[in-house]
Amino acid sequence: MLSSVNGHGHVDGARAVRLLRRTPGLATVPVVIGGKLDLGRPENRAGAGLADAGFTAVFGDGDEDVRRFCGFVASLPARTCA
Amino acid sequence: MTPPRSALGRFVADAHARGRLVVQPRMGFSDPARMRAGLLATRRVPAATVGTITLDSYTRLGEQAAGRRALDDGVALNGYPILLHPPALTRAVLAGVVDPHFPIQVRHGSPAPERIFDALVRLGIGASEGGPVSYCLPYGRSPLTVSVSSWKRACELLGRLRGKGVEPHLETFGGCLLGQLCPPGLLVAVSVLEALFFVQHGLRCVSLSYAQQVHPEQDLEALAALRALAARFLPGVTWHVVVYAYMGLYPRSRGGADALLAAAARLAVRGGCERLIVKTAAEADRIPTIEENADALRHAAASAAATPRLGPADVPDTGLLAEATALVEAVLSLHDDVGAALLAAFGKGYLDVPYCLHPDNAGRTAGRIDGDGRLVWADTGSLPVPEPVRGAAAGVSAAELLAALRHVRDRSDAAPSGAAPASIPTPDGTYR
Repeated sequence: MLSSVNGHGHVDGARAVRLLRRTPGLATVPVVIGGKLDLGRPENRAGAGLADAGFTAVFGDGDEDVRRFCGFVASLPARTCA
Repeated sequence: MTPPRSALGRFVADAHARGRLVVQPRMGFSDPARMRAGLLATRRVPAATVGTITLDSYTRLGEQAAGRRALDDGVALNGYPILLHPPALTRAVLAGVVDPHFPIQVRHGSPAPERIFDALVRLGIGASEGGPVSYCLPYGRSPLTVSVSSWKRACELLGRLRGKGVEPHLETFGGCLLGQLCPPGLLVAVSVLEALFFVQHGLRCVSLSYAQQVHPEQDLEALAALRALAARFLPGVTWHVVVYAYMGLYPRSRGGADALLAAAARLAVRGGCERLIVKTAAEADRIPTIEENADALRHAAASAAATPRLGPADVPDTGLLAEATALVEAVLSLHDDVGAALLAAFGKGYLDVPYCLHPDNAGRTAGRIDGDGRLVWADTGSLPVPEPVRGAAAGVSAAELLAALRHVRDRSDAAPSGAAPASIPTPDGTYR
């Protein structure tokens, strides 16, 4: 999970997830990003570019985003491995 | 003998003597023409205003290459890249804008600000802000020891401004830290300790910050404590107090945002403080425009002008001064060098910022909002406070934390936009 509130998330997040996706074994692992992801525009406008770059899901910082995120976390199959 | 004053310090003292609260925006644009327009718009507001140049986060983190790439790609940055724009361009931005009636401050967020301060010295800009703790723990990934030694060198660098006839000024960010859910006693203590650090490294004119929290009377008590400790620990230094409008989740409604900013302005005036950093009605969603910032400055100045100052006796004492004093004294007892004392204090958990994930923060404390709407300790960890709180058995759940983060927004908006968020499952399958 990556979070960013400084408005550069649409640039830095895309770069980070491309690096992650190129790493062996991380091609399909769920990776999400949330926060204030760009400057000045309504939330989630950066979403399409970030999803294209490789994020499983993209969240803004609104109440609905928090609900969606909690639903996303609850949907993940979880087990303790260490 | 009167201690030396920076241009910012003199401007603020003169405004205070005339009964006016100085108001200042957060503002930074990567486009130099827009940056200049923003400073001019701030100057034109009919109030006592200070201009702000907020730097972008690539500059903060020393990632000049990433900043350069973004500028070359035409991507707008979240602030002014003072190390990427040539000095002549920055001088042109400031020409005819900055004078004794309109000082400016460079705001940055850097845990290692030597290069930034070096640029300020070259440009003759005397005022900045931050601190070795407050710009490391919340914002940086660098170790606290690196930040402390960087800030020591950076403070000493600012002394070179005196050779140009400019007295430097630094403001602590320690009264803000993560911006929310840190009980006020610790905010006050860190603000005082960072001011002492600045003074130990050559500053003679400083300001101490405190960010508006969740309870007006508690905030007033915090400001009284901050002023009492500054008076005690900063003899021979010119100082003032700067209040920040609320830094957490901001109201989404225009009415709620305006009311919260007006409350911050009233808090600053009632608390006898000299300067206010405003927030705007756009804050909930994005970085504000120049016009939104100018609106906020006008609104804050008008709210301040309609508010009488209080006397110190009007502020109730619930033990906040005693808590902040205990923290400051315990830290100072660890070492004569304030930087070394700060490092030792974090190592022992004498300073421990709630919800801060930095590896050098012990992470044994927690804050919460109690039934009276005050910001209190849920756990004081190893803090040497007069009234420790052991909270391990009644820890703050994820749901309580989310509700506390939304407390001010939900109280301020007439029609809160959301019900409580869904429960989050813990790894053992239970929900809390």
